[in-house]
Amino acid sequence: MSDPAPHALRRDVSPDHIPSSEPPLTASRPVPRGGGAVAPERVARAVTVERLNAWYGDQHSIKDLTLSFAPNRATALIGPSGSGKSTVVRCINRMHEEIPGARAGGRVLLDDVDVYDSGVDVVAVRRSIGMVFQKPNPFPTMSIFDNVAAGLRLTSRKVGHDQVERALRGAGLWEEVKDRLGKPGVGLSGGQQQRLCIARALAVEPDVLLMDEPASALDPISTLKIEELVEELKRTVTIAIVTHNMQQAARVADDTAFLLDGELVEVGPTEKIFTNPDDSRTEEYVTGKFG
Amino acid sequence: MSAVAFAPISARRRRVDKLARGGVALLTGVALVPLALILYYLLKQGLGAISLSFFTTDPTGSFLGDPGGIKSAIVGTLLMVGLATAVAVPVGVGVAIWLVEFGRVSKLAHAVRYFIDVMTGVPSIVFGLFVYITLVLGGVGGSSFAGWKGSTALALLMLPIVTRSAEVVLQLVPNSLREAAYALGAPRWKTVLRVVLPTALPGIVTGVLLAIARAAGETAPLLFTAAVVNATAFNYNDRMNSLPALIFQNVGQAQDRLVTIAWGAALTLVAMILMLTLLARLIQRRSRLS
Repeated sequence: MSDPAPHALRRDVSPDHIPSSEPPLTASRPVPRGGGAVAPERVARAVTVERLNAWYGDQHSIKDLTLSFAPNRATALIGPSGSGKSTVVRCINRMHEEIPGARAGGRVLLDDVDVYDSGVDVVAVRRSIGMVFQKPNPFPTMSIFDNVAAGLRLTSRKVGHDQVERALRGAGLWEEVKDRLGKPGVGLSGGQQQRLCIARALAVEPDVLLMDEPASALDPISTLKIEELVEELKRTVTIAIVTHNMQQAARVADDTAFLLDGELVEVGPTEKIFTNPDDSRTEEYVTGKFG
Repeated sequence: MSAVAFAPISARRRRVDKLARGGVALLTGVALVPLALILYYLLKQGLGAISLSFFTTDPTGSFLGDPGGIKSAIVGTLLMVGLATAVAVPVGVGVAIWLVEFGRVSKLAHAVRYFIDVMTGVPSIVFGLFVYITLVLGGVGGSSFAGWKGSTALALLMLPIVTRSAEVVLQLVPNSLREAAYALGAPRWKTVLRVVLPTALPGIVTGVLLAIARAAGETAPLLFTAAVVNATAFNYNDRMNSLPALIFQNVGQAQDRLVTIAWGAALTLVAMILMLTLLARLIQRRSRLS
């Protein structure tokens, strides 16, 4: 792409793409699993990682990785500790370069715009590609409402009550917090805090949502809620989810990529990766022989 | 019945435990003794001097007649410390933000940290001398001794305290909050202003209060910069009285009435700092989410 203007990353989206008429998510509600069964309400963007290399100082942690994330699908990144899963997603929204001494090379295409192109504003990239971290990190000085509004306010946009409500509904948290929006965000339980962080990421209406082990610090019920949420979120965003937990990958992901030592071993439909992988290392990993 | 049998705690361990607990309790008590004595003597000696006119009249400087009050010293301390705070806090916090958020481990940042450490260790009288030589002797601003020159010395004294404490607190702000803001597309300056600073604010306020308390109690930087006078001055280009300077002057006098005034002024100074601390805590609690 020869025209990498930042405005290409600020495509205006319909303001009501986050499901607002949906009833709140509950653990008992059956949710269709896997296979991309959910019809998209909004066509999200695809992410293509091309020949990505990433370093931490001298340590070459991602080696020539090429991988695609299909729009409106959830792609899981699995692999043992240190295999570079988190680094890959951090390269997608250019958070990798925030670490002192870290650098990356290669191309990361959002549809057809290279987010690493010199003409692209890193701030615009991050507005299009949201991120949820391993540990819930709501802003401690802000109320629940302000936490959700933070993304819009920090990027100089006006925030309406309905935007906050829509984001909280999108994160399945609205019914639990609607009566205490002015209370501190850190007063919520760990699982609620994580969904608050998801709402915060959704409020800026991203095309892609990166989830870096979003449930690894949570209890099983909160984990289940996050997993159900992934299914819902696919209606509006493309999801890349890093997980240590292979059952979780099997439950939420349409596609699964297996990484080992910074290299892509295999990627394919989740069912195939877990039942009939091409590579013997994938089979050994998913059957628990190592990792 | 449990199959596991735990050995009873040995008599020796009990003895050591008791000894250690007793030891730290004793040390805490020892540390409290001077504090309690200071407060006791301040109240005992100072309360006698205090009346309404004590706060509303200037010292007369008269040896035989009415010695007057301490109004000029209170006003002078408030004005000079106020100006010094207004200068030192923004600069100090700014330096701390630069060190933590931007300078980080660069050579310049290391050099700045080193100089701040050196400045923290500089005796306060040296700041006074520096201002005396540069501003007072030079007659800068058309005056010799002046309130703003006292403020300058105090600001120099406060700067490293504010910077050091703010830097420590800013470093304590979890990186995950900065990352959260960056990941939302927030530019760096907005992240600092809207996320990092509010999170660090209680700690920064504590550091600022420490610096104010320190500056309000300093005598040496004021003696040859703002001088000691009797009259109340509101013009920063005039000589200004201050509580520590007044205490210093009066306590050496061979008259019990003047020494009593010094005690009263000391009590006033302590009470002012205490009120300031309480006020800051109150505002902080108000501004916190409920």
